[in-house]
Amino acid sequence: MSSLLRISLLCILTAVSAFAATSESNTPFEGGIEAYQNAEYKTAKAQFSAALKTNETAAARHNLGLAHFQLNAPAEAVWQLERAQLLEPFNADYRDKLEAVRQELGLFAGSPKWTVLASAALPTKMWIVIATISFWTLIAILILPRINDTKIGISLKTLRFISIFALILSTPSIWLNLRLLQTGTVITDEATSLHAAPASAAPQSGTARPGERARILDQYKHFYEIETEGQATGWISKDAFRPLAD
Amino acid sequence: MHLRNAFLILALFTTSTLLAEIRVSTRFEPARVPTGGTSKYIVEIIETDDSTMPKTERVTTLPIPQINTLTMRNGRIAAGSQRTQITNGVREYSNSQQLIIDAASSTEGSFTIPGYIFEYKGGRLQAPAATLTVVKRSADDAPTVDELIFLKADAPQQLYVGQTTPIILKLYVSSNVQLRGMNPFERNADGFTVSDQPEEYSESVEMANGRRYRVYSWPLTITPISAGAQDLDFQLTVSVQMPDQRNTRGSQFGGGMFDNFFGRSERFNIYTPPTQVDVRALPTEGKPKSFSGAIGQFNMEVTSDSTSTRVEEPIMLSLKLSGRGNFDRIKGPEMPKTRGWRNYKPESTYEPSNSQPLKGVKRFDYVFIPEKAGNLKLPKVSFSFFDPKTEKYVELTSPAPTVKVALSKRPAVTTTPTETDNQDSTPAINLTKALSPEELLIILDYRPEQGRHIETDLLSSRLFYGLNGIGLVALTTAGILIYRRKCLHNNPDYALAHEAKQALKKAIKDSQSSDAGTFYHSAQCAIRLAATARMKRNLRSADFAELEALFKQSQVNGDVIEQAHTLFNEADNHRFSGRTHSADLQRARTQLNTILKAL
Repeated sequence: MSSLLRISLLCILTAVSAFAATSESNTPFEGGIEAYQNAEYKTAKAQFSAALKTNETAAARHNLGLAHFQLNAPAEAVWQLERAQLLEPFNADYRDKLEAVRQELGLFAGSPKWTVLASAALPTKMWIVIATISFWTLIAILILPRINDTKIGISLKTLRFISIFALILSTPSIWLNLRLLQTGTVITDEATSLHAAPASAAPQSGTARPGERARILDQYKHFYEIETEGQATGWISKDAFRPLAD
Repeated sequence: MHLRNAFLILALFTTSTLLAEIRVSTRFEPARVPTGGTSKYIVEIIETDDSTMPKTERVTTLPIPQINTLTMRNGRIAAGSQRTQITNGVREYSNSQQLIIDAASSTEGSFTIPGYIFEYKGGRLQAPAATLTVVKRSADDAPTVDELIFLKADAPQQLYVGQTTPIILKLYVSSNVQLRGMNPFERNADGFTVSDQPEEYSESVEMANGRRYRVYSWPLTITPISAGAQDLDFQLTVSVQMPDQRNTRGSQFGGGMFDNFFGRSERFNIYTPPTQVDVRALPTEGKPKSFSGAIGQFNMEVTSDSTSTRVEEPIMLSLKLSGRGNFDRIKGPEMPKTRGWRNYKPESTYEPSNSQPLKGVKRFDYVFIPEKAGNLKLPKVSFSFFDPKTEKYVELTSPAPTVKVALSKRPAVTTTPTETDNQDSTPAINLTKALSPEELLIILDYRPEQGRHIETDLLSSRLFYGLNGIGLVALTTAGILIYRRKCLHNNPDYALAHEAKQALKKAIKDSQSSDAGTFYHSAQCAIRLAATARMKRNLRSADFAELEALFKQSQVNGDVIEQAHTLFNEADNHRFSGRTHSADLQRARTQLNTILKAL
């Protein structure tokens, strides 16, 4: 009996030490943090990029953004921070940093409006579930009592009110969330020309500043048609502009 | 009742015992005056004590009843006198105070102020009655003080709340009265705000009531603050030398020059005639949204210092109001939030006109900072005022100026809290240090928590279609079920057919049996139920003759009727012959299927 106990203890100790050895090995995320702290920003960038390939986390996006910022690529940093904020919309720290980088680039802080924050209260998927359920519930409450020739009671009236309310809340939220995904950032470090047509040789129709937000209106081959924060509209190369949903 | 009276008498006795050494007297001085003349109503309280000098208590109110046309004003306490009297070695100390109120009447008659009780040092004192006789003024009577010195304010009869109006306060002093000094005016005008008395006054000469007066004038402005009939009275204390004191014939110095220097001055309180102004509230009808209290007549001019600028470079929008009215109450119109602009509260300057009061130019400077490039419109500027002449509101609106905004050339600077922002906050020990943007931008996030999953094509996803598909199916199913239930409940034919179909299914199932008895019984039931479902008549116990008639009536194929006949005959033969099985059940099943299909 005692030998059996000893063997069991030995097995447990072996398993614990093996687990400890495994946990000590650095993940790309941790490697990125270590490299960043050693001011090895290129390594940090590579490590955080590797971390994002396996699992996209807001922290990795944020850290990669800061690494880009340290490498004098603030426009790319803006995109990474925008994306981090999309993943964690209520992280005030990310928002502050995004605003700071934007201001470094000569842009407005660009704090999100309350409508955008309200729509980010739930993920888009959840809004869609709420909208669909409330829509069909509402249709059922409107149609089924008519088929049955009955009047609806207080409980169904309450449900109808809740459905309408949920639909009113969820529909604009879905619209705002999807609209947010149709935006992107100018990732060049210099001001870029916007063209009147999807061709580099087309006449210039405006200028997009580094890190500037823009809404995608259309796309054609290697160009996006965008409208920037400064109300400039035109076609920009896909190399110079990255959608937020990319 | 008797008990109460006894208690009252006892209380009065006790009070009179306690206040035995306090005496009260009242009198008019002089007791006889001509109409318009002023007499002093004097209430004298004398306290005596054998041991110490009594201390007087200040009397602030007296319950004097209102007497017809007798005007009583300017109540004051005169300095009391202290006296020590020694009679046959016995000391007696007395202390007195006088309460003096000016009394005057414009009509002749006898005016008696009846006795009244007032509180003093915790006890109750009885003031005796006093009578003033006002007689008609004779032609050779000397002029009264009110005729020699009087005060006038030319206030309008009607005003609107908030309407600022200039008035002139005039002090008339007869030419044979020498003014030695005056105090700042006091006012009884709770319903108005009145401007401060100017230090300098203008002096002129006017003739009034056959006399020559020196007139001292102070321009003032008044603004009503509440509606209704509002009192507007002014009071001035002057120190003058009256004509009879300047009469030098009896002077030992023998000349007026010494009297001018050494003559005794008298102080008088003079009042404006009681005046009430009808103050009206501003009409609510037709009041523009932009109205903020301006009353008068105004013109508006709106200018911007530039028609082009860059992002984040401010421009100034100036609103200039000129005219006449309550400029001190005019606030800069609120600028609406305009897309692409942010603005701040305006700075205001006012340049009054030197010639006319309430006239001038007020200017509001608004700073607008463009937030984006393009041709941006500044907001429309609306200003409205109430014109008391036409008694209507007037709204002035300027068109929205357009400004061409180019892109910024300079990077934006991070705003940091200024010292002025923190001035209002309570002082506290600051244990935290706010990080600068540079410091903030080097701090990593060490917690890789799983954030939201970003899905781009949610509206074409399986989730979206699946949910809507489930919703559609569920709704359709529920609709069908509810409709069926409703038909079963409301339509007897449908209910009969439905019940027959249900029974038919069971009968068909039973007809699969290999036992001939069970088969034939089930087959007959099935045909009857099928007929019931088709004819929507209860044929569950019908015989073949009845069924045949109905089949023919509903034009069922003759072969089918024949096969049904055969089946029914077979069933009867089988039933009544007592056979337990048949070798040709297969053929009978085929017949049954044909019949049921046809039905």
